[in-house]
Amino acid sequence: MKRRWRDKTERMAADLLEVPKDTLLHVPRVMLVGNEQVVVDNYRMIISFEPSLIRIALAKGEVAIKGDRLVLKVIVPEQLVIEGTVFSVDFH
Amino acid sequence: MAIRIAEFLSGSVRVLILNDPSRAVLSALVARGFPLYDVEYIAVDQYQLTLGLSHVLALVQATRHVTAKVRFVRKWGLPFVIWRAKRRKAFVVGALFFVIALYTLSGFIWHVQIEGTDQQEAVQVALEKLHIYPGGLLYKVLDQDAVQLALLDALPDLSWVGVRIHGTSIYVRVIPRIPGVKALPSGPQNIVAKVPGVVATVLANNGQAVVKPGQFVTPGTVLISGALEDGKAVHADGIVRGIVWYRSNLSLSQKTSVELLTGSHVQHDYLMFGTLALQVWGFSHPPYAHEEIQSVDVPLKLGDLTLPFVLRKETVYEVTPHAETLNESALTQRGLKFAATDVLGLSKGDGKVLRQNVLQRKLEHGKLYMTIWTEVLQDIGINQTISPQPTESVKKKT
Repeated sequence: MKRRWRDKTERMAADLLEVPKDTLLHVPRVMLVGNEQVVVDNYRMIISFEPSLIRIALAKGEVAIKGDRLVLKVIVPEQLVIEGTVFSVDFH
Repeated sequence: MAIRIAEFLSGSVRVLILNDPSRAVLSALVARGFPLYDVEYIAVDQYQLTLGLSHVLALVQATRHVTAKVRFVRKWGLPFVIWRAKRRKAFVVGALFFVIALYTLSGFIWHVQIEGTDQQEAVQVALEKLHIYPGGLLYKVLDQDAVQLALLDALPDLSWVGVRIHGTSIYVRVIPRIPGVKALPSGPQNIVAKVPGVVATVLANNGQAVVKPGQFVTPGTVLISGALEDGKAVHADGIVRGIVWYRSNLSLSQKTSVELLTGSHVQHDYLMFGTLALQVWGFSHPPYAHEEIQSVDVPLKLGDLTLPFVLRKETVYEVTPHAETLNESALTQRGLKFAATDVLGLSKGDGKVLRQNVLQRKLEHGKLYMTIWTEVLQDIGINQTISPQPTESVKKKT
């Protein structure tokens, strides 16, 4: 209950002040560098990973990265770097 | 890069996790917030990952409750290097000794090369005073330019010194002065006449010309003065040519005898050991009534070595004496030639005969008596050092 209220307030403040949404905490951000690298911020967990498909759970829903020879290059809290040949990024 | 260095210092391991199809170990590590690198899919239940050495304990704890197994693939970083070094102390000591030895030995001068002189000892002694000798300490040596200047100061016989310090070698190249070049005498002097005559040309390089062409001078007359008007005395230098007259008396015999070569000759070869002659070839002794001997010494060489004896080639020519009677005019011509040669000898070969005249001629008892007058253009100057006394005596004379 408290969390939801805080989320709501943050969102409102962001809309009001025209702050980009990704600067807010707990909002996932997926960044693509060409088709070679994917950087995922604020992920929750890794659901599964294979060279052709990596599924990552976000705060809401999940993101599936399809590609070839995908490797989880760096895993640190709040950030994930995936390298390989990326074909598609799908949100579910 | 900074991450890589930090990773190296703290150490990291690459592990292969087996028998974990649900990725439980990976999830546990991610949940605990450990940084992981290069997570790579190997098979359905296998994957590799790299993590920091300090998190290995957590990894082992995470595998305790599941069926997964961990295999270490690669260990990387400073902690492992130290661990290995502790096991091989002798190797580490050897490596350290090598580095220290290399550093120490490169602090010495190993090689000094001196080029460009045949008197290396003198240069060597001078270099030793500058701490440059094989085995000397390199840090004591000054820089190249300072060594060059110091060496030039120490050895005045050198005109140029080049020093090159190349690692532990020092190359010194010197150029010695050309010996035997002495400064010209520069004491104050006059140029005075040595013979009586008439001045023809005056060429003063230094000092002041005090005579003019056409002027008659007697011995001792100052031609080019080194005493300048402002009281200074300089080294007078120059050439004064004058016309000088000589009178020569000579007598020539009408009958002369010359020896003519007949063409026949024999050759004798000798080996000369000092003054001792050993005849080696040509033993014939033809009965020549008159002979003339000509000998040539040939030094014998064997490669670059000169043998201690010489080969003397002696040629004996047969000659016939030939008596000749000359008439008066031929004798006169000969007399003039003799007189000219004699006079030019007196003027030390620097003269030129301008005119000749026969003053007196008398043929008596088969001999021609003559007096010949010769006019010569020659250098009439001679150096005279300026000192108070000679100038006074010159004044008295004139």
